[in-house]
Amino acid sequence: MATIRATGDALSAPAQPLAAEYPVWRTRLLFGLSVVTFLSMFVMLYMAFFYAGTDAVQGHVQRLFYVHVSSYAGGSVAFFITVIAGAAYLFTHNAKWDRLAVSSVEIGLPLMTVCLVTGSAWARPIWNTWWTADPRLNSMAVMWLMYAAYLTLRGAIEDPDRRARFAAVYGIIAFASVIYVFLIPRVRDDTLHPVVIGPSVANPTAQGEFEVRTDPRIGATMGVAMVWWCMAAVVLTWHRVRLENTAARLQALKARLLAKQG
Amino acid sequence: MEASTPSNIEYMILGYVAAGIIMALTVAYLVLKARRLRQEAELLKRLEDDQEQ
Repeated sequence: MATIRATGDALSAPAQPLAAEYPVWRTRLLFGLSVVTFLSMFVMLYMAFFYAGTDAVQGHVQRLFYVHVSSYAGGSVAFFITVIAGAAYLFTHNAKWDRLAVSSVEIGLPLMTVCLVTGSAWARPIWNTWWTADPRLNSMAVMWLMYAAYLTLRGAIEDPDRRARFAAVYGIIAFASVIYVFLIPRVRDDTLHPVVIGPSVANPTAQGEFEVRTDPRIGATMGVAMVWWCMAAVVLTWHRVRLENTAARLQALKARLLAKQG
Repeated sequence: MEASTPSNIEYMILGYVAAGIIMALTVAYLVLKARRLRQEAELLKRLEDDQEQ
């Protein structure tokens, strides 16, 4: 049985049981990407603090946008992986896609938390409130809760196949909330939230816009931050799914040992 | 009268520190989970060896 042999192979090297079953090049690629992501974080922070100028109207707090907007982009990438993995599971019924789906939600959720927290810290001096009942903010909170519920509800279903099917459908439907959050300041005229990239045409009452398109330094910093957070989402999801794969193999080994004892 | 740039650096620091803590917790979660799985793997390996003997 391939699964059991793979588990045995993984366990035959206790020093590296988590990487033993993967091709070496893939492990090296992940390691390389992890190092690049870690080091480029300092480039991103340097650009945010020293390269991009201080916004004349908003002051230093505007620098939070380099994290706020791009962590949303990173979270969206993670949740989009959930959609792909969910669809792949529904077509193939291969459990590896379910493991990828849950891994990407577990990484996307903290990224979206970063977006929420930095947005709140920015709103306090700019809007004079940590939080307000604004369509954009409320829809973001609903989206966050939907993905938190994804993890909770998964834990409530015991049958693995049923759980995976439910999670796949839920993950695909939940992505509508990500799109909705993106679109809302572009289509509604009653939100305070600025569009950030592009003018707030639909809502002229938006407060807190800045020149991301016309100032090359701000634009470059935002671009680097976007790439960094998307890369971080992919790298962390990759690490997380490896752990999930290892946990599945250990579960199979446990079952085999129990069967032997029985 | 020209408006001056507001002083709100403390909110910027608050936001970056909070983001750093959330990301550090995420990485710590992965590291701890990996460690737990490694320990579990070693334990199961020992159990398997015992069974084979």
